[in-house]
Amino acid sequence: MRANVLTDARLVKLAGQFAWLDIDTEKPRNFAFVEQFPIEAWPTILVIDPATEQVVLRWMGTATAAELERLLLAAAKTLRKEKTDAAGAAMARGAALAAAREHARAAEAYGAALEAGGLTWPGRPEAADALLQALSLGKDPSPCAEAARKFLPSLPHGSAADRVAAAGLVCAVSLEAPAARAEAIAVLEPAARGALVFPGVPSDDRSGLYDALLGARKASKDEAGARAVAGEWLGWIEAESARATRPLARSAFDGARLTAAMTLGDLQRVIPALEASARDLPGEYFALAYLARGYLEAGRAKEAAATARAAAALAEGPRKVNLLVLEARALGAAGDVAGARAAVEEAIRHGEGLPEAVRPRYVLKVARALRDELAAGAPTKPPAVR
Amino acid sequence: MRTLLVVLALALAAPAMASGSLPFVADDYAAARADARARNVPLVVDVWAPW
Repeated sequence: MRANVLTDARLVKLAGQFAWLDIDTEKPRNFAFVEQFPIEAWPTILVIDPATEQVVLRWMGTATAAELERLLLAAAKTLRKEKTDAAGAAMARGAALAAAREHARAAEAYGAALEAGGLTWPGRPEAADALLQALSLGKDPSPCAEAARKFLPSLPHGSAADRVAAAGLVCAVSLEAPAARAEAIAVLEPAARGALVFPGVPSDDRSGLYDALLGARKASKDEAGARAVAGEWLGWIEAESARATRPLARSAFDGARLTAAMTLGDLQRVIPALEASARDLPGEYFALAYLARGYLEAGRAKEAAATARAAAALAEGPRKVNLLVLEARALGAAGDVAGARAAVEEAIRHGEGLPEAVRPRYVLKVARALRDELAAGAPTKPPAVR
Repeated sequence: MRTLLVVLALALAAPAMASGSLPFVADDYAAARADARARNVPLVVDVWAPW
């Protein structure tokens, strides 16, 4: 988003019509902002009325420049209280409800927008995408998987359809009942595979689709199939990152690179690229974090611990907890139990010291479990780094 | 002071606009909000984290 979409001429021409702010949620100076405007996904685009501080648009995840232009102009129109058609009004209602984090009601409004707009409505792709975003945040994945099945066939082949396919497949994989899960995967997996060749899809979205396809094979307990998807994904990542002209753009693939390599059990293939990111982006904790995880998965525990320590030293926010837990795992794997205990205690102290709104509850739970494991002398396994 | 911050942010943003990017204010909600209020325009916020 930052490297490609927000630099697009289509958006740059809107410069004077809005004020623009970027917020790095890892920086302590922004914790008050996150307390005022809680965030559920990264990236998130907000449009805020500066007079009332009301959020009129909350868009989670990626969007193309054309999609974002339409969303921003619609939000500005809402703020000016301009009249719109029934579909536009329902979209505005959905955006306001999503902004208030009333995602179930937002989904109803997006559904009404899709109904009112019909098959030829230009806003249909964004409305379907917004519907899936809202449904994805619900506890029950069934409506999300069902909505993807309902709307995918009528969406134009492009980035929104790609995201709907990926989100729908992720929801299908999350279904509890095995028969329903298998049936939904059987429908949505081919649709997601077909979406891999849609034109104009940003690389983040295409990577997300591969991730969803990998999840579907794993949920189907198809190890060979999962390896085939991971191999295809990693080949695509390597080709895409070879075309990237800047280290930051190349490093954007590192998380996906690591996930694919771990599925293949072939860390050696990606460690040179992770080392290149860490070398080319000095001072960036995320590049060191991926490298530390890669070293740990490759059995290079001491290098993993030192790299995770270096990453943690650069981080200040919630993700410092992940990095210290990673260091503790690596130290544990290297046989340094005392060091591992110290690192996990530091992780818990840091996490508990963060303001409530940014406190990483899940990672803290992982850290406390690891502390208990270490106290019991149990072996450790690597945690997720993201 | 607030006015100074806004002016400074806009001044820093000006070269970025000229080179074809959006004039984002980094990590300063108060300054960006003040700018939006002064120009009577909505505030767009890109919320992200380096990961």
